[in-house]
Amino acid sequence: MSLETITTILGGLTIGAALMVVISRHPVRSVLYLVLTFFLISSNYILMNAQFLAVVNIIVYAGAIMVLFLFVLMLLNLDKDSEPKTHILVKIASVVAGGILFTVLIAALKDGIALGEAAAASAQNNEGLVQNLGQLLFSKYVLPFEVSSVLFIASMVGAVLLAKREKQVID
Amino acid sequence: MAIDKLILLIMALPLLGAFVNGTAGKYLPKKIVGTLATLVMFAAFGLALMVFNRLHDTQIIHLFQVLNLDSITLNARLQVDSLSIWMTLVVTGVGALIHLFSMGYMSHDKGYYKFFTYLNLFIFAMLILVLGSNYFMLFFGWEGVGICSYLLIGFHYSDLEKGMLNSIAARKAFIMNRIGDLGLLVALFLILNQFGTLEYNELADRILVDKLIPSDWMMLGITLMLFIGATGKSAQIPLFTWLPDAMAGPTPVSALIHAATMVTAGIFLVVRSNYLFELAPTTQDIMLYVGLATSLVAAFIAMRQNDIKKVLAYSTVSQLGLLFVALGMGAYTAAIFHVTTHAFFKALLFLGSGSVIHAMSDEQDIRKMGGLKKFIPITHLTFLIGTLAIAGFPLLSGFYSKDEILAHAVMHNGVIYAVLMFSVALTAIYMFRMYFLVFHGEFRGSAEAKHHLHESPLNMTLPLIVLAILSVFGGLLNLPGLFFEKGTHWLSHFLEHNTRGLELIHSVHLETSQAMLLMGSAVVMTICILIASFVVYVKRGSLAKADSELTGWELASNKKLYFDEVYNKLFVQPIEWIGKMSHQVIEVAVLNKSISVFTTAIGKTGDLVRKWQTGYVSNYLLWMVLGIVGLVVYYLLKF
Amino acid sequence: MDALIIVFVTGLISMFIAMAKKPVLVLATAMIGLSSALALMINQWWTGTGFIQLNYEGLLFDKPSILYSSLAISFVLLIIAGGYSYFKQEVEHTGEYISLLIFSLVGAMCMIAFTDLFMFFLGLEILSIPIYVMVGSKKRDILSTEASLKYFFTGSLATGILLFGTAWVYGATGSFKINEISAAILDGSAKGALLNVGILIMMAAFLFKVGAAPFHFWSPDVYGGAPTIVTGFMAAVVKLAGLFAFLKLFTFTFWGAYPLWSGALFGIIILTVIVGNLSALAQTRFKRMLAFSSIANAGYALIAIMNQSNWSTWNLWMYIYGYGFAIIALIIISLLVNDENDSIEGFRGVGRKNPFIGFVLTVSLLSLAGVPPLAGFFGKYMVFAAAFKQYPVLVITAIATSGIGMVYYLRFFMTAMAKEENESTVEKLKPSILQTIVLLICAIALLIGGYIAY
Repeated sequence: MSLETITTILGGLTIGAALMVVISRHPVRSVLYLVLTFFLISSNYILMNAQFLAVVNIIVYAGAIMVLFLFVLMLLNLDKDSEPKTHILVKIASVVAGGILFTVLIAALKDGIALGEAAAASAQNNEGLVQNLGQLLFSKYVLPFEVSSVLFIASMVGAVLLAKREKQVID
Repeated sequence: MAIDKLILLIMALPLLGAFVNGTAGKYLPKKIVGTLATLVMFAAFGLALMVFNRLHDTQIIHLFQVLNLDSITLNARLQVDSLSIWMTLVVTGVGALIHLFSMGYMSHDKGYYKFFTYLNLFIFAMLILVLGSNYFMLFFGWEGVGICSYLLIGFHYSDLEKGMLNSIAARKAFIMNRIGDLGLLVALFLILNQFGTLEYNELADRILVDKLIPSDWMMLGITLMLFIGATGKSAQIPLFTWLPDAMAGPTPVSALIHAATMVTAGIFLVVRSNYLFELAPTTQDIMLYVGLATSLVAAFIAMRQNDIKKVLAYSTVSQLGLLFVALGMGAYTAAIFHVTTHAFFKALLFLGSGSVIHAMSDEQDIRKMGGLKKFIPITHLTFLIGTLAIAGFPLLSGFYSKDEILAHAVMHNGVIYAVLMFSVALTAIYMFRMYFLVFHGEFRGSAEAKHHLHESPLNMTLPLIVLAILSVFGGLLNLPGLFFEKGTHWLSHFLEHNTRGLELIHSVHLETSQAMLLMGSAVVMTICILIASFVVYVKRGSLAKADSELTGWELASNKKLYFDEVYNKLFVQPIEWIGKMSHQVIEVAVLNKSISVFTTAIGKTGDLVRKWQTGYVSNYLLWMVLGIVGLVVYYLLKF
Repeated sequence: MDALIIVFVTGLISMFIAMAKKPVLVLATAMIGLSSALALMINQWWTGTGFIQLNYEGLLFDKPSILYSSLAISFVLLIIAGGYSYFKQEVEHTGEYISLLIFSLVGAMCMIAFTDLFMFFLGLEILSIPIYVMVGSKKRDILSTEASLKYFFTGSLATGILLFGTAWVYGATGSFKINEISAAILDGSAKGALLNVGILIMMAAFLFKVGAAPFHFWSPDVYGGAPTIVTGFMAAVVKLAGLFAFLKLFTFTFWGAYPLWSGALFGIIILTVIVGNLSALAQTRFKRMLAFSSIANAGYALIAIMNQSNWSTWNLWMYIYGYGFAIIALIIISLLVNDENDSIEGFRGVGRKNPFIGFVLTVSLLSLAGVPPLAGFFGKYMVFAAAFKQYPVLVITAIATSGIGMVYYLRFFMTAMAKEENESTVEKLKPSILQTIVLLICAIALLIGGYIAY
């Protein structure tokens, strides 16, 4: 089986899984499909020779975030009754909007295929390896790497601020 | 110190006084406020004297540039020459004395610090007016003195009884002056348009040296507009009615602003622009006849006024008319001479009347006075000197200055001389009438008022004495060449020495015999009037009649020739009618309607747009996606 | 660069010093840190180099960046000083509130000085995430929580869109660096749908951040629900960073694609100014009115970006200068009024209760309305005048709608200056010394703005 066939099959599966996320009525099932989607995306990364990204994707997204989602959903105990009602017009509008966006993006992307191929050919194929990535991160991209720590500390502080139990006010 | 430093100091001192009193005066004791304001004035006068001693040539002091465009440049500059330093001396000298007087006169007033702030500010503005080196500075000072005058006329705006009237008087003065100021402004624009400069010196160079003279019509327009400006500030027909009303202000204000200094700004303007007026004989004629008419009308009205200050106010208007007659005949130095002596004796008379009013516990009606000479001897004596001076009693200052103008009139036209003599005679009559009614006879006021009668304190009588001395000897400044060989016409020579334009105007002097005749007739007339008045008011004890008893010319005089009523019918009411109609038709019916229709429409659309904001996140997200769709569709359609 | 580090460290220290439970220490730290950062910025402006020579790829503090960063730091300084009375109410969280705002400022500075899209994205996130939290920091207030969630949802969609667009642009140009992208577009090596759609999608994300129609729906709800001082931060600092990044990315980086995005922006601006002003007319709540007014103002500021002039950086700066100081003053006054319903009626008679506040209120409202000689007028004037030749229709629409804008600013003004009907309800407004100073600075900045513009 050529690489191209595998890519195509994996790509198709990824899109299918992503669609299932949206289509499934049950939230927990949606989340599970999302996990599947992440795994499939990771496999795409591996095919592109980006092993580090693939592993990180699985650990962070499929592992940590999705498990969190699942817990939250189970705790919230969603069922059909609590599902918000949306107006039929809004539904139609959403479908139409999404459809148009999809179409125009496909149409636009068609022009870009040639360009994308050229870019792919020129790109070095082993940039995604852990060693190379590390070197890039600590030389060329050291500043963004360091600055991202600001982002992390800010989000941590924010999370603590929001989640901390307030002292009861005694009136 | 060099002259430029001194001049800056002269300007800065009143400003400093105004600043300190204006900001901190509320918290300072009255003594300090008054002393400070008065001291800066005396210091400024002293410095002005120093400058006066050292001045030989015209000096220009550049302060800063106000505006610099391709077409025009406006500079804040000062110009020191004979004319401006002379005016500075008069303003600061008389001003200093009046400040001193005010310290006593205003001592019971709540707005003491405010009063001195305005007064100092007025002096500052007046100095800009006279010392500026161009019409722009003049205009700046012109408006500055206008606003100070407005503030001071309406000074007692919160008075329970007369507050409203005071405010109305202030407003009237302000509006009347606006009409004049418009004329001045138009004149400035015309000058700028024709000559491209507002600097006196450059303008004089263009006209006197380069002979770049625009058409006669243009000169007529410029000078006429300047003259309209002057009629506003110097209270000439038709804009004179504000000045008598301006007596609503405190008496020192009347003395300083509405007699001695500000109202002579118009005279100063014309003298300053003498070379322009010399090129427009028509305007000179207009000026002459307007001045003559004003002089006569005002003197006539003054005959039967019973308010001590109103009489003096009309007398001021009449004297200003006389001055314009002089200007119309080209007798510029004579005019400045009379401005100076007039400043002395009119300030004296106003301050004297202030002292009388002070003694009478704020009573101004001469019908309730009488016999005051026993109670307030110093005031009486100085007031008498002032009266004699203004009436042209021989050897007092007014005699010389008036005589010079009369001499010019004789050479100009016999009829004008005759009319002028009549006006001068009227002046003598009403002044003596007032003097005798106030100081002689029996006291006609209430017993309580009599009990309160007292001579004013020293700081009020001292200025009176100084001004009285000046009124007596002021004539020495410009003695006619009749009795002496040397030292005559000193002021004329001084002014002609370095004031642009004046050196070119040579006044012809009368034959000695003719001059003697003139003087003789003036002397005889004055003395006759004095004796007649004495007989009528003292010997026979005639009194001023009550308003209801007046008939014929007396009624007309008492009612001020109905000027106010006519103006009211002619201008005020039609304009009010137009205002009312345009309010009803244009504003209410047209503008308001259309605006309300417009605003309702906008409000409706606003509601519509607001409903777009549903509050659901899903809707917001949908709209965002639609926005992106819109952008991409736009791209696909256009490219 | 040294200033950026100082700002970050200030944030950290103020967070940890809060453990002493002395809010005033946090305030002092923040003030000292931010002031020294401002001083460093000014130093770099004059000397051209910082104290420490740090040059890494991704950030470059050139003159425009310094100009905008200094303004952002000043805004944050004023907001922290003015909002101190609010921050110290909960001693537990003072440190967090203040440090989050400072972290957000770090993000704003990254967004201002970025040289590659990488850094820009990071900056945007650092700017946004603390704000999501701060909007919801009134935990007992359901509106605040709702606003936070709404902002988070819409914001994350915008972030996704931005990344999506960035990916397209990267695909077309093969680079993240803005000068390489710019060169690739100009020499024609990158073109076609991949680039163009990428640019438009990125633009959509930007329009969301600055709150232009139809991407503006979040802002009234979020502005209205957020704690007052955070509303001020969003209106002043977030707008500043977003608009300057917009300017930098579009007029500089995507210059070669000017015909493409300018056409789209044209329509967006017209829609924005109309919707913003008309909606603001009907508002009865102060912060919602402010939100719509900020939408309209974003529309005017975008005109500066539209116009092909060397001066647009400066014009936009002047515009934000006038807008920001006025908003901060209004926000602090609203903090003082402290009306529970946040209604405009709550401001009735404010000007009479405290003439100083009345004066500052007058100055800021008139500046917002664009009355000379205040800074707001000069900002508007410069932006409009520069664009008038090229886009007369746009400018005329903008002027007409700012006429509508006058209505609600002046109506608010009339309410604030009106006589209180029953004197018994009057409480004296008592601004703290800090707030008085902040208000004074704002008023002075607005008054002298014209001279700066000159």
